[in-house]
Amino acid sequence: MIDHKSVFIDSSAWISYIVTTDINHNKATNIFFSQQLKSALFISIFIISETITKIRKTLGQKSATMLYRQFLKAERKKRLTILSIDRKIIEEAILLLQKYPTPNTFSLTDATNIILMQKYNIPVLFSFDRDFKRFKARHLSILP
Amino acid sequence: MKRLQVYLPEELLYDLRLYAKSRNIPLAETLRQAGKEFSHKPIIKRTINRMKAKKKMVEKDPILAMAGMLGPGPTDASITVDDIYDD
Repeated sequence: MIDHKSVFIDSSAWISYIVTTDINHNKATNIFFSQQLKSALFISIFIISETITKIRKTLGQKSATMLYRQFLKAERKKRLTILSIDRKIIEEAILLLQKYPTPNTFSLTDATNIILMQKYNIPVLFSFDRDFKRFKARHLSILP
Repeated sequence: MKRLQVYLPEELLYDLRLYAKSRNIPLAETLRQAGKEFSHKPIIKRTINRMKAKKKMVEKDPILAMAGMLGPGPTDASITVDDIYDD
């Protein structure tokens, strides 16, 4: 069981926080420096994959590597938990995606976020992705 | 001491040179004195101390250290993450 103040952080939140010119940078920085994010923070292997791929595409490999190393450092210092994704999580994520007929912009990563949050009792999602507002998940609150 | 190159408004530079000459000290010493006096003002000192505390906190916390760590980039990166799935 995980603390009720836990927060799962989506790729969009990370990217806006680390790129100074991003449209949501100030908002993200204020949230990251707030008391709410002093609690347990979670991401998944898929979030690392998505974030690193996006940064690699927009800012290059050097920046992507730097970001990856910082994620590992945060994990080592116990400020961040990187959740693994096994076949069962993917199965459940696929079932969730089936409830939202295509075409839509939900991704498998989005769905795994929801499944992991349910599995580990993480009540808060920090994301600038508007898609999540359409997920009808119980007890899910979205930051900002 | 560290070397620093700065640009000053001409009029200010002129005044500071006059002061340095009147005291028979180098211009650099005048600037050091001015800087010291400025940083000792209560309101400035409070700001400096606040920033020092924040810097210390950021250095200790790897999550806070990530703020702006990659510098400038696209303005819409956070709202176009899903583009990585496009061709």
